[in-house]
Amino acid sequence: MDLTDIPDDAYAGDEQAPDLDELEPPGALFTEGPVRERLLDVITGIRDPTKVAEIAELADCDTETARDYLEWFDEMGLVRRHGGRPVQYERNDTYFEWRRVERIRQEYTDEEIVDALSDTFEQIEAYREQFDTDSPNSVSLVEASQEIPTEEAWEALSEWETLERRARVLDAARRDHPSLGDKPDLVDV
Amino acid sequence: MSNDPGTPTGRGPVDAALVDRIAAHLVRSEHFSDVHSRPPYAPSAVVADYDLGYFPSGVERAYLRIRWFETDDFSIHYSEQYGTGGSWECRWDRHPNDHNTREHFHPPPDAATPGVDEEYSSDWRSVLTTVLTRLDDRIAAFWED
Repeated sequence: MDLTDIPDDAYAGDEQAPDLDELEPPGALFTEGPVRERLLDVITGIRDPTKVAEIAELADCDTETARDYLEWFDEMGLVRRHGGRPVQYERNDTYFEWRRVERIRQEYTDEEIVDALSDTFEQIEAYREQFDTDSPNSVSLVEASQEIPTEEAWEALSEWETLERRARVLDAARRDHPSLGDKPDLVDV
Repeated sequence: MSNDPGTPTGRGPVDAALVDRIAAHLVRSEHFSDVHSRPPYAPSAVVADYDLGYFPSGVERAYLRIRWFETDDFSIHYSEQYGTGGSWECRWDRHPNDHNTREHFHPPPDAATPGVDEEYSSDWRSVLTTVLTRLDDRIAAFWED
């Protein structure tokens, strides 16, 4: 069955077709924004130091424009600049984590943060019991997938790592300062 | 074990920054009436509900649930739910598994496993464009005679 096969369940009677022309073409959603948005999209997806020319190409803008914006992003902390020739940039994960912490502090009360943190720890604890170890880093996907299907092992270990990350961010928000250096395990909640 | 020997053990947490970025784009789209980035009931995902105005009235809900990881693995789940109680779903995936190559598609109507091996772009924007374009074809198909 392909994507354009429609089951009868979808219809509940005679109906007028909507005006589908008003829908923007999907590609436009990601390519037709202002240059700064396109550069932010590209830099958010870049996980290794990348040359300005390559970033410019991905963002579909000229190299000089990309260079100007990247210098500005660097001042704001969004990217890390690697000097040398040619200059390279990569996303600054610390900035994005700090922004998550700030948002949590703005949107949630202290009590909600502590509740979310305990809930996260409970879920982490379940994974620790399931894999009989303290950290997802000490379980290899190969090992785990001998016991359960690879897809399930991947889901579980990725989710566990996601929870560890979330605990760290929530803990930083709880401490009311954006330092992310401490291990959440040390918190008594 | 994965059939893709290059990165059989790759895994990592959800990329919250990229998930939020995806949501920021979907919010601006006419396609969706409701977009939530990492809501409490799905804290790893963007959940985007299609505007039901583009669907026949038998469709009670149509939504995308997108997860994106720091390994650039992803899972994009599309689901339609009908007033009859039936449903229809499919999934675009890139992750280690036992049934397909790392990049694959679980076909409708029930996202069957094994799916079909596929090749996706390395650029997250292109992957989402591909998925949204294919779903636009579906929306058009509802209204064809």
